[in-house]
Amino acid sequence: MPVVEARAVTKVFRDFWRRPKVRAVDGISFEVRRGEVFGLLGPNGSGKSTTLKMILGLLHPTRGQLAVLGRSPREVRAKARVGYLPEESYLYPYLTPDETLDFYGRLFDLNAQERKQRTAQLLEMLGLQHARHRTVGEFSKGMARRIGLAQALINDPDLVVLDEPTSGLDPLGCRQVKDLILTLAKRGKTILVSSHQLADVEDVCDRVAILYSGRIQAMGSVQSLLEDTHQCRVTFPDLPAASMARLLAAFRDALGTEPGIEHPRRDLEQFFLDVVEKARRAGGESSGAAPTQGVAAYLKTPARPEDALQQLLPQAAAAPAGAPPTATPEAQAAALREADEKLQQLLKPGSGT
Amino acid sequence: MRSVWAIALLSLRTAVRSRVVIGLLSILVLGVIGIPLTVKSDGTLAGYVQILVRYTLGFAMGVLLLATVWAGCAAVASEIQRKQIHLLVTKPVSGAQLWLGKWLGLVILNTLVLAVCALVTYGLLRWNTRAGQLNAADAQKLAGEIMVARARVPPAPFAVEQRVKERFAELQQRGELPTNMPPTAIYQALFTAAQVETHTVAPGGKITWRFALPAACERAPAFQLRYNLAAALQAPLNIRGRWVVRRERGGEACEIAADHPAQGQHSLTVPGTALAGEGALLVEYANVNQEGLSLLFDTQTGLTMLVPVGGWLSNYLRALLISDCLLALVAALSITAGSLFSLPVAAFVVFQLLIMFSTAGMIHSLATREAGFVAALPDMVRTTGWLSEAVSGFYRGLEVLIMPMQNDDPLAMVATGEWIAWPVVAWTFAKQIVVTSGLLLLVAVAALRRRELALPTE
Ligand SMILES: Nc1ncnc2c1ncn2[C@@H]1O[C@H](COP(=O)(O)OP(=O)(O)OP(=O)(O)O)[C@@H](O)[C@H]1O
Ligand SMILES: [Mg+2]
Repeated sequence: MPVVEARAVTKVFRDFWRRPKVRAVDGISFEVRRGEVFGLLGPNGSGKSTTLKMILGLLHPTRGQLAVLGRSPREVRAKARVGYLPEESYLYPYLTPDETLDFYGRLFDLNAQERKQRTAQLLEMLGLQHARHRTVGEFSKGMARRIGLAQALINDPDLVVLDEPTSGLDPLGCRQVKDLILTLAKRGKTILVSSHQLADVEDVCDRVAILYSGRIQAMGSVQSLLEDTHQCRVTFPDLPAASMARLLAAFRDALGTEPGIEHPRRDLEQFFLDVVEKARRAGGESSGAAPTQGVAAYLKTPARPEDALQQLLPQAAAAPAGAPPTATPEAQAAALREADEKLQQLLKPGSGT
Repeated sequence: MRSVWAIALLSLRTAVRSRVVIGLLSILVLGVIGIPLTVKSDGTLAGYVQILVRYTLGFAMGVLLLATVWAGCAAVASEIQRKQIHLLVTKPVSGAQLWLGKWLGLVILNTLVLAVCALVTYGLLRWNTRAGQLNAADAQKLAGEIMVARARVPPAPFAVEQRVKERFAELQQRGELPTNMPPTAIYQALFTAAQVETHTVAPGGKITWRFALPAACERAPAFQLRYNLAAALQAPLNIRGRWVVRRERGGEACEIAADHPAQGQHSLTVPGTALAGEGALLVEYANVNQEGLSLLFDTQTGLTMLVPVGGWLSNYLRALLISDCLLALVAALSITAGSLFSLPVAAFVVFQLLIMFSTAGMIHSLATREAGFVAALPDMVRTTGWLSEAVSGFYRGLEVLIMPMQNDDPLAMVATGEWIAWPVVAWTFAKQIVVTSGLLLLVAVAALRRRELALPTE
């Protein structure tokens, strides 16, 4: 059973007299499978947020069917296992981060101890523990966004719906969110993100649907959509001039044309991350969000400290950006099994969700 | 239940941290302390208690009602407007839980504020009438007549219906019914005549009323009998009469002579000791005037027995509980309105309803008190066509819906020492909270279920 299933969903916004005004989503069908990261990609106004709001029951489809975790999105019970980050932070400005997360934790019927523990872990994970006694109203956009992300994860959801999760975040935060998404996916959670930051989508999504004016223009796995089977790239360390000349001659012979040569460039994201990391080491203080590493412990599988997933964050930070996550079918199957175990643990009575 | 509490606490927190509420509280405190200082009473102790309990607390109620309408309408409407609702309804929170949380938050806040106002008022009352502040007569009056809780017992009505019916049939038989009057008006006139007849005491004659007393007054030290003579009697001389009060089951009787002008309200104190024990009292008035004067007791407000049945403080508490029920009802109405409409529209609708509420009560009382109006109403409607028929039908519909909601102003009652029984509190709670607020909850839940909460509101 897919986690989200949309069949010929159409949304027409009407004016006061119920005359059709905008056809924001136009007969889209797709499904999000368990454990995958699914991206909705599209330019501004292409219907991404509208689709997500329908999946959350905030808007009702004009036509077509939607099922979330096998239920209608308007059913209250389905929502206990869903986390949602809206496109903007709609938080209560007079609450502190602690109070905010405690409030949403109560709505999920978590007990006091769980709320306290999760709040602390989430704030630490998102680098906001030093701001926990300030009110959210005075937060910068990116800081508020982090609180938004924290409230979406407070119930340790099975399905996480993120509407432009990286908007308003600094490159460090973007990177962190992307890593977080990958980590959550490895833990068996299903993630649905929307974005128009192509690089973000490419980095994290297993499959994407590209929306334009409310219709799906292309859909498939990132790998299959982007792979250019007519070209190859060969990478090797810088060589002495003589060896290089020999190699090039061999290529020239084989190809019959001159091959393209350039030095690989670090991308700006990686460069930025290195600069900030250096500054932090040098002891710079910031009143904003602090750079952090790691994931809130309750989102992990505590019984398996050697879990490769746990080391994912540092690893990912060291790897060149833009490298798609590679996984053999065996590794994927193992990850899915793990995820299932985790799911069972979460669903055990008394786990609070 | 955890979600309901979370939302209720959030509303409280919003209130405490918002400047509007702080401003409101300052107005309340200023009012509660300032009104008794600035408003001049008629100089009597009873007048002072009236100002303090009825007007000062009434002012607090008024401010609280306005604030409740505003806060209640905003509770859901502004969450929708500011899109904070997106994060609420995507959590496992039902419409009913959301409504209940908001309502509970408002009710708790109202109760707290009202309790503070009531405590301050009571403190002022006690402080300004503390020992040494009043002369002996006033102190006695305060304890015996003002800070009391007395039931208002009307006498058993005289059975005039039968007499009127017979008279009507007799006239009809003889063909003497006036042809220029509708039958209802004739009946009404005959009824009034019969009432006057039974309330008139001829010179040397007697008239006896029966009062069924509540069991609670068994050990009351004294009763008070209030009576009015028909004001049309413009006699310049004093009226003399003799009252005899006795228990229906027999026993000691108590005799009191009366000698006063006809106008105004009169009262006499009947010692309770002579009449201790439950049961009914028979009150007899003998006309002993020498001048051959017939006396007419007012047919509507002729006689009332005031019977002490409890302490003032518990009465005060009951009055506050009834007031609190009203605030809770208005909170429910406002929250539901806010779930249906955007903020200004919701506030407008609630104020419209409240205005209709009070005018319907006024029209109802006009219609019932003015006997002539009642008699003339169907006639008037018949001659002026469908529009006024529709209007009066509308108002009668309102009456059916609204009259059960109306009750006497509890603060006025407690200020005049009138007893408010627990069943009245329970009845108010049942109709205003359980039934009406429950229905309003259902309306809001249906609306929230239908509404697309992510749509922008204008
Ligand atoms: N409440 C509404 N009433 C009318 N039209 C709306 C409403 N909400 C969205 N739309 C329209 O629907 C279309 C899709 O909007 P949507 O917010 O889904 O776009 P998006 O893909 O999320 O864009 P962005 O990248 O800017 O967030 C737009 O043309 C928008 O104007
Ligand atoms: Mg959007």
